[in-house]
Amino acid sequence: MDQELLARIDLIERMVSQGRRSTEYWGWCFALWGTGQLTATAWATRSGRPGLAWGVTMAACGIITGLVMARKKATEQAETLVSRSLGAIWLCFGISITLLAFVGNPAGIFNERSFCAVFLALMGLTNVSSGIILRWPLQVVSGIVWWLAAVFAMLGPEKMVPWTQIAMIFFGEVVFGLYLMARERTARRHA
Amino acid sequence: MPDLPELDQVVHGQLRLAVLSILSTVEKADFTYLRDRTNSTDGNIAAHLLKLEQAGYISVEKTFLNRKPMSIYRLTSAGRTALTNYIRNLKKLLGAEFNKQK
Repeated sequence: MDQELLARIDLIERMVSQGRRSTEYWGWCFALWGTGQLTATAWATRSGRPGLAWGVTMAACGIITGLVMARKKATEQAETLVSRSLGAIWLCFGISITLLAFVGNPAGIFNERSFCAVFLALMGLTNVSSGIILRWPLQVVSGIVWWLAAVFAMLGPEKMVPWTQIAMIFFGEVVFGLYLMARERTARRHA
Repeated sequence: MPDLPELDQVVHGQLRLAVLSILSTVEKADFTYLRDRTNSTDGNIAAHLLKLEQAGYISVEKTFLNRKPMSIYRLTSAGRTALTNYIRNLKKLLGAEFNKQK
């Protein structure tokens, strides 16, 4: 058997798997934005100035995300169709929710219940889409839970709506993000 | 006995094959990414990237990020065809080896 030819086959397989291996780590992003949203909720409740609390906190999260991504881009980069698709979905989600929050809310289009339902449904959409692209059942299930929470926000008792949102942000973003970070750390160790 | 195919020598080089294999799975990759994934050095990979570029198998886009020069590489359609043909020929050769052993 020609060992050189076999070595070439092995090389192709190893390099293809290197290229397919995700170099993007997003656990920190979930944890950051989840913590930001919980901070904004607490700040808005205490101060009674939701516009200021959400504006400042979300802007801070946006700046931190931008800085971290710029730093990552400066070190090494490769773009795959998967990474571009995921980036597009989450970027469009971010723009949509920002428009709804900072244009729709002051215009009086939403009340707390309807905005919460829209937010939860959009989180379901982005998580399920990401899960389908990544072929990762856990994220699909997470997205379905976000959708169920959206249904609960529409049909459940009104006083439970803010708590539903807080619980979903905590478990669906902060805890999910920390879990992702732990997974990514393990993957990096075995890379 | 059937004629055995020739392997494209531009693709056959170990480092060049590694680069083409990686680029076949990503849309684009920068110099640092390719160097690190192939465990190569700046000078070594640069020479092989140039050879692939001269063969028309990859394209390079020179740009700047934070005022630092950056080279972004992509697999061209000629490069994809060359890699596909190379793998097909490799399989044929290995098939011939298998048949010889039986």
